[in-house]
Amino acid sequence: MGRLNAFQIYKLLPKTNCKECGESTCMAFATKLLNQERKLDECPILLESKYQANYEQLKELLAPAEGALETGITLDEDLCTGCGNCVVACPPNARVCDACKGGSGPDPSNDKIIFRVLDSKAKIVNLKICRRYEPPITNCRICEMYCPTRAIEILR
Amino acid sequence: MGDLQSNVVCTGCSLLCDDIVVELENGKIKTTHHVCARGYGRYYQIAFKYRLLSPLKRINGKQQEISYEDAIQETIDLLKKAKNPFFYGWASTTSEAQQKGIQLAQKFKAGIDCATNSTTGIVLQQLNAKNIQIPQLEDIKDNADLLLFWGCNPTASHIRLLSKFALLPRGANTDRGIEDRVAISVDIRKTDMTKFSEEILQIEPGEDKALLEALIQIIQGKSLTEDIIANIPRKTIYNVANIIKEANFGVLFFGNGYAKTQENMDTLLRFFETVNQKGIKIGAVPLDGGYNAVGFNLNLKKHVNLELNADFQSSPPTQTPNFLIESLKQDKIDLLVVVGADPISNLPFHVCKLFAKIPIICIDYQQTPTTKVSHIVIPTTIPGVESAGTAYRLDYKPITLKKILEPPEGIYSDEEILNALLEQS
Repeated sequence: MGRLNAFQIYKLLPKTNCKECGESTCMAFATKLLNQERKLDECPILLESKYQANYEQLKELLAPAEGALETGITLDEDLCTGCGNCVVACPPNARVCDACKGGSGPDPSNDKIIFRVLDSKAKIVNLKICRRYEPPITNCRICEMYCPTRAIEILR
Repeated sequence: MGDLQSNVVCTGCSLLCDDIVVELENGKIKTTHHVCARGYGRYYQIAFKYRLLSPLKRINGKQQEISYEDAIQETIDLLKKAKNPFFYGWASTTSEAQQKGIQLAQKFKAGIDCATNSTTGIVLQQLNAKNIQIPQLEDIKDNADLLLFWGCNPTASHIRLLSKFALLPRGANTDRGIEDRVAISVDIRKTDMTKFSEEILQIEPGEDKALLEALIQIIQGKSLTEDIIANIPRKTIYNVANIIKEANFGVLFFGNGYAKTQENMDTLLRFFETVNQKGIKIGAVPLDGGYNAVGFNLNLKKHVNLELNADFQSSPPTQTPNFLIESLKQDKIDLLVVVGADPISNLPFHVCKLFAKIPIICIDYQQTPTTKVSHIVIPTTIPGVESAGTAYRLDYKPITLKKILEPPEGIYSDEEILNALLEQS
């Protein structure tokens, strides 16, 4: 499955544009759902028994997004091969760690870095220096771009 | 934090990453830092359920435990009885063990061959003959601006190659990392490498030679007449040739996907000759399994001045291409000693069937299909974890393996076992 988009969510919503959730259209609500700004339960029509199947399907679709961290990044450890591409490619990581800049692994005591590889799986240590964390936010997708196995995905 | 062992060398593949940090607690491995999935296996196998912890001997068709001394004695008896013993493997063991193995083969007038000879060995021999340098991996990191991946997928075979040496790291003259480099991949299918490549040449199987010929022609200044060569449009080939022409320092990584037939090898050598004549610096790096595959070729050269394999029955010793398979086909082997390899998993089935006729003595640290069919199995330590030694990286750089843990009781290293065989016989 590719990256989740708002249209996939919209297709499962009631599509009535009733405005009961406070959004002007269902599509707007779908976009906010994807960005985790709204909750699924905030759509009253979806809670009716008629839409139960859709509700459950949506819940399943949005489950990985719920696991996403503040910057919208998800890391699937089952897919990770520990190649360390994210550790080396990530620009903030290279800024705070000279070893990462040159391709080696970071010092085990360095807890400023975003990524490190532990037991052959990438781990997220500190997201605060991520370019997507604090304003001015940039739409940096370098870790996702260089992950060969698609273990890292950025959901928005 | 427990006891930190830094600069440990990983023996997962022939990159021999030397920046591994292992955290020990109560004499056991707690966590490993920076190891990839392939290398992690080495640390995980210590307490693996298929780990071999006692020598085995096949008695009445079943493998039964025997003592270490008995196993050594039985092996020596079999070696003395055999008319044509053969020593095989050597790609995944230390350089010291390889040297003992060569001495042992000489003593018993045996044949000796390396498991990766049909791939890496032949390439290295031919590159050496033409004086084509294998660049140091650090040099690639600092200077390389063109990376050609031909028939290989390092994201699966040499997992840290892209992050540690080739594509992503920022070196002395490549301080923008991947932005200072161009990667091109040639393969018969889409692999994970396509994500990193500027040009992806998906060729038809067996068309490597045609594509390389076309590149040689363009670099020589001739023009192509055909519109599509090896399933690639002419325009793309011109584009790639131009990228090659403009490179300051290129590296051609080629894996097992580039078939090592004599025709293919000749074309490859001609490609290097052509680019060198035009003043383009392009180095060759063969990517292959077996963390110390090049070590065997170096040691054999030092010892008997042969590069691939040696037949000590003739004097002076001679070398034969595909030595093991040719000898097996001619029924020339009556005892096979396997060290640091798993031929039953790696060789084709029609060759494996020939193993059924001969007794096998296998020295390994875990159960493999080869140990399952062996007459005698001698367990050993995991090099780089439980025993020290030297191994040669794929660019011939010697790397010292560290011992970080005590091996299980009664388990000796490959070197110690081969030394015992050498001294007691």
